[in-house]
Amino acid sequence: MTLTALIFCQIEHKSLIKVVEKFKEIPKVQKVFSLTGDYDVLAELIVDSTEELYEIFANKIDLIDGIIETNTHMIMSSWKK
Amino acid sequence: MKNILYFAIMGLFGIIIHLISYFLALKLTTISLVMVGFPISIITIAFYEHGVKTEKLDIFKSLYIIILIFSISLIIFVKFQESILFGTEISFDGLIYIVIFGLSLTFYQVAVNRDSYSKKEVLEINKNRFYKMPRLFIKISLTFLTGIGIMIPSMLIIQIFPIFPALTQEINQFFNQFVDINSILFRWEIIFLIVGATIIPHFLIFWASVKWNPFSLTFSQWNCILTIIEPIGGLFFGILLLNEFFPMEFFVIVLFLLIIAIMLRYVHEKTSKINAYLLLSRNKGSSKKLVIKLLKINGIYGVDSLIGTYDLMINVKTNSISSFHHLVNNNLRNLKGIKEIKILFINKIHKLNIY
Repeated sequence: MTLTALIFCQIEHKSLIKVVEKFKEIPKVQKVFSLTGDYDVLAELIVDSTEELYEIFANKIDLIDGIIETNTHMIMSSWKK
Repeated sequence: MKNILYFAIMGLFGIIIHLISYFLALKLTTISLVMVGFPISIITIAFYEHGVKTEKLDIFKSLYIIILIFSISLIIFVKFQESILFGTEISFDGLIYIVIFGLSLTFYQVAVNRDSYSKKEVLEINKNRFYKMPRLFIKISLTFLTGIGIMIPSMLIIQIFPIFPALTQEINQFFNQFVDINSILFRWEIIFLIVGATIIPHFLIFWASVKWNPFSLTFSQWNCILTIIEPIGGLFFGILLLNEFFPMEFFVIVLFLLIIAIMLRYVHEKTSKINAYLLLSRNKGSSKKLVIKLLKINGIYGVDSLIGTYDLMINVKTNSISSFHHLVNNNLRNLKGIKEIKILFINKIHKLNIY
């Protein structure tokens, strides 16, 4: 069973492109969106477990220069139309 | 009851009057002239969206409207030239039918997606995405049959009170030939019309709408863009295959203009499209009911239930900022159970190597 995590990020001024490129290098990242609003970037990750999410977050995402703040959500269920 | 009324109005104005006026216009004029009905419909929809839905007439939309008006004028000019050169008269009734065809096509395009899914259907679609296909077939068939149901008594009334002699004559012919309906239905042209030109294209259209890639323009946006292809096909068929009068230089100019109109329309749809994620906090106890209510709203394409600061994330796609404003302020803010809405506009979807 896989888990889908959504990581909303606030980015430092002039760091958007660099941060997006760093996210794209992370293997478990499925989608990266540039946003306008309270958050600047949204990354969607599909992981096998919360431990794996922790490993990716602690060793990759948390080390990306230019991220001011992150807010992580997990998807419980998805509904499409 | 609401659905029966919807089927009846859609069936009569969107399908039956649309088909009858199209074929009567073809009978009384030429294919190349009837093709004018398509751009008339596109222009009417553009003004409807501007006037009723307050969508902006940006430079691209204004340009493609001007180009379509110019194309219509060119086709009409050529047809008048033809009537002068060969002494053939352009049928006034035919022109009326072309306008009715254009307006009924407009009605069809505007009203076709007005019905919303029921609660049961939303649950069904999430179990099986292909549920949409039989639903669309049943919807179109019911609309058509309801339209027929209204058409027959309307024809009898017109026959009893012959206000329009030409139409009464057509109705008389219809009833005279109706006894031979079996032999008509089994002619290869009719079988081709039903299977090759109706069922198979609709199957492909419905299949495409189910499998549509969520990252591109919406299905309805592509549908609008490609409506301009229909008159191009009709012009090719009428002029090149049936040798209708149309000087080649005018044909090339009209084709060129219609292709430019498609490009401008694509740019307009691409630049005015709004794609956003909305993060919602909800009141306790409203989880599943709220998801279904959200999915019934036009413009909402997906809902994710979340664990975190927010409870739900919805993906919204609209054709313009005014439609987006309407969705958020009229649809969402009136829903019970929503505590807070955060709007995040998607500026860019960064493609990864896996796509």
